[in-house]
Amino acid sequence: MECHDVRQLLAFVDRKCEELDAPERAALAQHLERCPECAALAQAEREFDQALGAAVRAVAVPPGLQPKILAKLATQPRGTPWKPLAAAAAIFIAVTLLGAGIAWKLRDTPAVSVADIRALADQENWDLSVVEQHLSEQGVPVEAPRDFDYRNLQHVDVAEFRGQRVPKLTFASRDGKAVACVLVLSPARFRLGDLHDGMELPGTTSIRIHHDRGHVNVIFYRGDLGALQRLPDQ
Amino acid sequence: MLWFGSARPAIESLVESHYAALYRYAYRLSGAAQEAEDLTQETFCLAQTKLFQLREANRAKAWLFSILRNAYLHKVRTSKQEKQVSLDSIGEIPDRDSERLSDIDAAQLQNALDELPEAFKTPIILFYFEEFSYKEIAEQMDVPLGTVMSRLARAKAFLRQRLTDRAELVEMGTPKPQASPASGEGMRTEGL
Ligand SMILES: [Zn+2]
Repeated sequence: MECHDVRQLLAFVDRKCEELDAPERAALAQHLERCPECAALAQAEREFDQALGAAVRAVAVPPGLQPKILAKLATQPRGTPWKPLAAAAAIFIAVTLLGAGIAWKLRDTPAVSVADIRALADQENWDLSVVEQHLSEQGVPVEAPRDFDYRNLQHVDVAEFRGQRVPKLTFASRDGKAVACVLVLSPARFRLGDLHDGMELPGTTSIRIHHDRGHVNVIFYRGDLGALQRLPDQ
Repeated sequence: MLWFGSARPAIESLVESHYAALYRYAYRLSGAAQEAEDLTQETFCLAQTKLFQLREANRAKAWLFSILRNAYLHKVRTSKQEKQVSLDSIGEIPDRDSERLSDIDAAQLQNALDELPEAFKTPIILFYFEEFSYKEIAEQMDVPLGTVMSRLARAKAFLRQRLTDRAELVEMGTPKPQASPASGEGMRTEGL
């Protein structure tokens, strides 16, 4: 390797060097060992990088920036596409708050009465078609579960599950004793071979697998699931 | 209640891990504290709405940096503040000398960075900043590796020259220049 070539490569001397292959690195090192001029330039390059690097990184971060960012984020909808209609956003946030209210209820720290929540929820009229339209606007068009009573719907969200965006519906009974969360999994996005229809996984939060017109609904629930669902001939 | 929370993207942890680096990057790009704060804020707001696009957690940093850069470019373009310096004016790489760079004045450095067009400024900041490799910088900027290397070499030569010149001026007792004759960045920062 000649001096000219070496000087083109000096920038790599102290880098991760993933751009140079092993023979190039070896040739470079060999040349620097026997050529004092290039070695001096390499040393100057190193010092320059250190001085400039330290200066470039020396920026004082304003105190209080992190909580400021978090506070701003809390006022923004999550996972909502670029152009949410203001109304849709308002409903989304209202329903999110309802979900939070129910969650608090379950933690035995009732801040809001269920009747209040119910009254508010009834105003929103989230029936099946509104839910499907909302999910379609969120970029996850699916057929929402047909076996639930949508008067019990509390929350529609898009969850991230195994790297995919999936619809998540939360239902709660009027008395707050039954709560269910439904993830709608599409066979186009997941291999669902192990999830048999009717499968029940008991636990503090029970899980039921329900095949529904091509999709698989994974239902996490507590309490009496039947209280959240439609009567068969309703 | 784990499953109630499981759908919540971990945006808070991204903020905690990366807000300081993003702010520093934004500050070096824009040269102004308020704009850097706005850009950092905007980056996380965008990230929150697009979090589902992030497939691998270990790509989060590069992903956030590229969101910030796009937000910056968008701002610059819409306010027509982009420097119209031609790439040729950055010049060729002069012969190196082993001149030592003593203490670098923060304002001088930012002035010198502000003189660089974005195409040169971004690689130099990423290079010194957060240990991005040449390859990662090329991916961020969507340009070939060779382009990144040549821009970096030219940008470094430019900074070396600027910072050494100015250091000499200061040593000679000349009042610290607010803007070099060639830069015109005084107008730029006022407009922000
Ligand atoms: Zn040599």
